[in-house]
Amino acid sequence: MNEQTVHPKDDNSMALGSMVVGILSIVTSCCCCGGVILGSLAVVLACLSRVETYFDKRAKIGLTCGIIGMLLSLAACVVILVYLAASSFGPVGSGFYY
Amino acid sequence: MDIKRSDLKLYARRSLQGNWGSVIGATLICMGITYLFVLALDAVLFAALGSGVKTLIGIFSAAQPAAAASPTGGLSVGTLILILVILYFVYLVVLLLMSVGYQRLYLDVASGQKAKVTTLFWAFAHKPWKFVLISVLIALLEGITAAPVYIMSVAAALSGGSGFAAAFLLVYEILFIIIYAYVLLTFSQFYLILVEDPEKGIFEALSESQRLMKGNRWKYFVLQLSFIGILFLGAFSFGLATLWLSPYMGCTLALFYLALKGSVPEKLKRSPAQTAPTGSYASYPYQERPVAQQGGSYPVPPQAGSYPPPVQAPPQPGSAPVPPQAGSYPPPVQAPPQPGSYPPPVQAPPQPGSYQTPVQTPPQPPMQPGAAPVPPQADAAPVPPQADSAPVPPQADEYQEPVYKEPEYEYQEPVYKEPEYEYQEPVYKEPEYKEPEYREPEYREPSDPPGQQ
Repeated sequence: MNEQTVHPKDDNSMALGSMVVGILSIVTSCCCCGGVILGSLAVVLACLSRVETYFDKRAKIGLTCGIIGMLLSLAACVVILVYLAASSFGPVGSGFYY
Repeated sequence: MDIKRSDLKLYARRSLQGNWGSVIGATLICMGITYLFVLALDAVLFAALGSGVKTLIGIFSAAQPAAAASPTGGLSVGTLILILVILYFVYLVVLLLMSVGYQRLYLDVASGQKAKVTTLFWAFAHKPWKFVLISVLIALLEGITAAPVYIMSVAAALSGGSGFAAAFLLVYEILFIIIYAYVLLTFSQFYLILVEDPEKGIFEALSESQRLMKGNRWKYFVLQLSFIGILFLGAFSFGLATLWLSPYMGCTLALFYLALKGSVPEKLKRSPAQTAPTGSYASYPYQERPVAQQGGSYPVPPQAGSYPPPVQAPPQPGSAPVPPQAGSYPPPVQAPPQPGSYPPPVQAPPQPGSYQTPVQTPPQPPMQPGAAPVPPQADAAPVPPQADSAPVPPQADEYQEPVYKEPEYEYQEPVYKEPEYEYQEPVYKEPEYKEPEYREPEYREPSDPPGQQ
């Protein structure tokens, strides 16, 4: 007999939430804190959504997007800080004064 | 305890699936109540401060204090401070009882029950003063054990600091931390034991916790430490993730307690893909759930009263055969032949996947000696065999091929019933002591060693 796996109705709302929050974290990564807050939340939700021995597909997406959002947000923070520092103390800042 | 740490966490996530709304709702309610209390405390505190400042100003400037016009309604500073102390005590008691309710909520979830928000207030109706008393005693013990540190610190500060005081503080604090951690780990299950059964005595719960944690302290410690990573990650979300993390941690610790007792619910050990009601397979136990057969056809679940196939009573000789009902199960069998008919009925070959149809043996009428079976005639009653008549050979054109009708299967959606888990208290049976039977040792005559003859 050729056996097939019976898949249940997918009702893992945590994985769905993780995916949504992860995508939002990428969208808001240009804001300093948005990406970090939502990204870390997406990673936490993805970790908590694992009720099997493997990750749900949407949880994987949420996890990946959350990490990317956090990294982008951190990069944005670094860039802004470097630019502010340079504009205050370096030659870049002189460009503001005509 | 033979359950791995990762499995405990997996079970906690499974137990929380479907209960997240309730536990997060309980957290939000608890936060709201705490916030209201803090607001009230702040209001009384500022009123007392304001009243005190006005009193001081009145004393020093010898002006009339405008007590009647004050927002406190003319309450004195002492009254306000008394209200503040009482309110603070009520706040602590409510907070403590709600934290006990949290433990109960997590224990319910870990036990596989449906979470209810009202469980948050469970401790208000189940021996509330017992929990308050325990907390006061624990706080007193902590205060007494930490007292030497405070005394030595004050003494060292007053004396300008000395090497002896610094060394004493260092050694005492290290020892204090080690002993404190050991005691905490030993009695870590104390609250959960009392929450599970509030009727238990304090010392009984303490000794049970000690018994349960024997050999498992390090596992509990590592389990607590293993949450550091996800808590660190949750800290980036400015506390937003704690809404999910605190129930997760609470349920994991409650499951640790259940694992120590060996009463982790079996349904948490199974994958939700197997336990969830999934359409047409809902009524099957997860282990015996059938899978799709080749060709996409599913086995028809047995209906109540339809399996095994009903055994039909053999028709009486001479009675009219009962025609098969359309749509009945098992597949209709040809009409039983009339008594004395020839040839014997030919049954249709069983279809693949169909149940074995019951083989019905047609009743044979009592044959008279010398009688031969008479071929049946259409619409004719069975002709009784006549004696001394010549046997009539069967004619080929009288034989009718039985027509096999495909049975119609009506598939009915089975109804999923949630299996009920009832916890049964294990009954301890005293092992029966059997007196060993004494057998008289058989005396054997010692044989002569070889070579003595």
